[in-house]
Amino acid sequence: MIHRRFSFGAVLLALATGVGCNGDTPTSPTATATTATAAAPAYTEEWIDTLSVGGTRFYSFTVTQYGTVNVALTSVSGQFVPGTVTVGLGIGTPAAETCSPTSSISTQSGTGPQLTGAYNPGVYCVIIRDVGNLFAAARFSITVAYP
Amino acid sequence: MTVGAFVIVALTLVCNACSDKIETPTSATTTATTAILFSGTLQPRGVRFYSYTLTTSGAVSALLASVERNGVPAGNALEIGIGAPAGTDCAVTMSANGPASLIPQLRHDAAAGTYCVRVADIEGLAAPMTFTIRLIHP
Repeated sequence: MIHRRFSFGAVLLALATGVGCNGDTPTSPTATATTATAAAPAYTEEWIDTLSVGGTRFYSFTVTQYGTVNVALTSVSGQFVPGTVTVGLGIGTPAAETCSPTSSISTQSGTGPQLTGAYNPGVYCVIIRDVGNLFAAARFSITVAYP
Repeated sequence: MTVGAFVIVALTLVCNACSDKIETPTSATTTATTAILFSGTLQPRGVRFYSYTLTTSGAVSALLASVERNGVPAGNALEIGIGAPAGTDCAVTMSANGPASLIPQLRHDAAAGTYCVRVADIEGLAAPMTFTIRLIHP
């Protein structure tokens, strides 16, 4: 009789152990492959300013969702400044008293975006600089389109 | 001890072993901070700003540490502000106007992200001044 009572207790103990630790049983992860889709630009800002000889200027903007950023240098003009002059153009993040570019090119002005890329939410900046081609201050226009 | 009592004791031990009790840490947690010194020359009615990035959230404080002209401390008040870079400026969300101080004039809790600290002469300096802003962030 005692043997039967002990067996019953052992069974109860085993069941309790299984139930007590049941919450720790891992479940198989479900494979959910997510591919982020870059949102199209929703906002456009036009930045018109003056670039001095040997100078640098930058402009900050905030991206609120992952998406495509397009930057177009649409015009460069001024006395003694040919419209075809090549300047430096970049996209980056504001850092200290400047814009630290992560992508940059030397380009002339044109209609299409000279720089484009997909960016996560955050604060970014466009930087323009004289790469040594200016002999006088240049008036420029840059269009920034972002999601 | 009867077999029943043994089972009860065993069950108690098993339940305690498998409980999801959260252990409360007893050791103190320390947060490392970084100090930025932003120095330069401010023209009368001028504005300058400095951008920085927080990789973690936490308390940010800023103070106008010094205002000098030709190396001599000056009592001129300058406006300092904290905000986010926007356009060709720093769009401040909080600001304070006053002379150099040893205690923070601005303090706020910020999430990770890119911010800026801005200094401006809004009272009209008689001459350019050199300034230093001390910014402490996580």
